[in-house]
Amino acid sequence: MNTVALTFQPAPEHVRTARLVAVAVARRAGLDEARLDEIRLAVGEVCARAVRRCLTTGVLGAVQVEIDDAGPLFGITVTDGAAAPDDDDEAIALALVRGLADSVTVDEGPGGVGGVVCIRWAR
Amino acid sequence: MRCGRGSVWARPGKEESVELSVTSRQEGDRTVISVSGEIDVYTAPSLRERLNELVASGYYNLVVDMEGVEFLDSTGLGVLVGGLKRVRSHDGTLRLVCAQEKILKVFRITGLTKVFPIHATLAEALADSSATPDGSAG
Repeated sequence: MNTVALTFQPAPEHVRTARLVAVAVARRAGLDEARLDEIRLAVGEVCARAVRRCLTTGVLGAVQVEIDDAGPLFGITVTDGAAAPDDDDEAIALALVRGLADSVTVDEGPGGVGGVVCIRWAR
Repeated sequence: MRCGRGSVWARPGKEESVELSVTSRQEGDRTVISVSGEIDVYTAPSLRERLNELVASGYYNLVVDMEGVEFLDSTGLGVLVGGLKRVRSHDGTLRLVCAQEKILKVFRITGLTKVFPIHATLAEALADSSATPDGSAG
């Protein structure tokens, strides 16, 4: 079970909300300030990517953010229902996320529909 | 004048929303754009509009003062890169003022510290006459 889950319509104005929620959970989990800055930026990038993917393909289903601080790793999973091809913005966003998180996985969603990105930090 | 996204109304020289404030003024031959708040996927377009307006109006030597910036993401980086390209096409310059480690880190991870002249203070940025990060005239 995720500690906190958030669902939002794919619009840029909601990415900040996702950042705030993720950082609030991370702060409560005891991660230090430097980690919080990394999490804030990485979550923002992954959520912005999800929003961009949805808007460019006209898929307006919700973006889902699941935050898990129960295990040895602090992890955030962002799921979208879009099917957009990689582009330049994607490459920059993912490069930034890989420089911030301890581990990053980028996969297709269930049944090959949409995308799932998991980002994790050692606690 | 209505501009950009949603309900951000532009007044000459100044744009504000809850999350981002952009003001500009002349300092000699340089235009200083003071940015405070968060530059992200939602607010970056209003910064892009301001930079584009300035270049379209003939202002090619820009200093973006980011001392009040609390957050910067890749969309914001893209806007700054776009601004740099625009002024360079007119042989102009775009310098940044930023001393905050959390923001500098974003430039460092993406390698953009090699692309932008970044100064610790506005005074330094205004005094600098070189065009490239390594100090050459470019």
